[in-house]
Amino acid sequence: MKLLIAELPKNGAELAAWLEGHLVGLDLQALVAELSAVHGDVSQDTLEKALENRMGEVMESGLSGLSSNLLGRLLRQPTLLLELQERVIESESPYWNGLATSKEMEAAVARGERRLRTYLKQEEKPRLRVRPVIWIGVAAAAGIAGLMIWNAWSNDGGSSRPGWGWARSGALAQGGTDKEYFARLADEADEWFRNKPDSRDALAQRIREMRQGCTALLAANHRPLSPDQKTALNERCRAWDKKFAQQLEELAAGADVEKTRSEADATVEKLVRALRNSLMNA
Amino acid sequence: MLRPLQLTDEELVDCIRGRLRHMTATDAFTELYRRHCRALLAFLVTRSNRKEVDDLAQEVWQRLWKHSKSLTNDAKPQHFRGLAFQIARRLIIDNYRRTRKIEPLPENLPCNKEILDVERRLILEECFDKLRAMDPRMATVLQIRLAGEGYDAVQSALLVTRQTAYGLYHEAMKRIQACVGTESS
Repeated sequence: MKLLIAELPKNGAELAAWLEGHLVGLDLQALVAELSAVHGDVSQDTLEKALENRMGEVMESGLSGLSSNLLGRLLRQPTLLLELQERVIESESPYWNGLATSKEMEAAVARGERRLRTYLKQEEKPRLRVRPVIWIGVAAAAGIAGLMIWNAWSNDGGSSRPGWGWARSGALAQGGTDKEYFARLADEADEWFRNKPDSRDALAQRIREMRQGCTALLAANHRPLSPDQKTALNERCRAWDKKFAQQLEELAAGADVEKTRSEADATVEKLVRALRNSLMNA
Repeated sequence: MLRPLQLTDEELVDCIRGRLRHMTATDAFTELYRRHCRALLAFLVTRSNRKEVDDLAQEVWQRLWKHSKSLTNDAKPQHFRGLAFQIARRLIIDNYRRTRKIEPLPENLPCNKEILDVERRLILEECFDKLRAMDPRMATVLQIRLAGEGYDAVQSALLVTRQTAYGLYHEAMKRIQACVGTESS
């Protein structure tokens, strides 16, 4: 059993930060148990009294503004920390929401998100209960739709275009000013985030579609842009495409799907930011 | 298109129930999860058995999903985090009753003493008593330091030099850790 009180910092500022970490972390119950064992059951102040009515300040900017005397009251009456935690959590204060959390917490968050995704996938599966006669109609309609799609695909020179991003039919419109053009490109790239593929194949397909977009972008005229802007955009576009190609290769070599998706997300975020900011000033 | 971060909780709930179409229901719900899951985990883990926390948290999120999906078009959604904690509290109480077979149901959360890590507290209390019996000064120095006070306070309470105060604290902590290690193994 590892003792948390053994890590209690020496000075006030560090003590405040240490306590804040425990208030938003996973070990507060253990810490309160340890402090209770050392200090015993002392008579309790209310939380407001213990903090001398400085709750507003604590919610807004944490414990660092409290004197060591007030922090000491929390340590000596540790069950007040449980009450404080509840107040902090429910306040949705940006200060407390923004505090860094432990690796253990992040692992629990990731575990929970995986379970939640599985559950949501299950919940969102369409549940069709259709009588056989209707199935015949559905099959016929599907056949007609299939023929139409085949026809459209054939007319498109045999290449299927994704329905999002720069490769979408009608994307990369060449009108407007340079600023409008960059903003449009950023919005179109941002469509990447509409879909978060979970499987290896689906993610690979999504990255391939992003690369199709890069190819389309490199082939475009960029009429609203100056020659310098065009050069800068094409250079960056080649660099982004290289990153997507690397991610595809890693995926094919067995890299973790979630990790690769985060990397691809980060690349898209960077390129969207670049389009919205620096490229516009190129 | 708007990114999840640009939407409020209420707008994300509107995406889930189909009133807004900025993103899919599952993406909107995942964003709500990312915003609130840490606070919810910290709350649950402090008030229940650690081994059950993942399951309890999952149950909260599943109930939140069902609630958000079932909202009719004109219903005003509740404050999301408030609702999450309302569900979490109810689950903790249910769980507490189930595991301890308490009837009738407590209307409020189990009181603070009951939700503490009892085993940890008992082991440490025993070790602290042993330390006090061995050298009362060590128990005192530990209590002073664990109330956030510095070595000056230890010096005045025990009338010792700073170096002695420092040495006493470190020896006390070493002994407590050794004792806890033995008792809990």
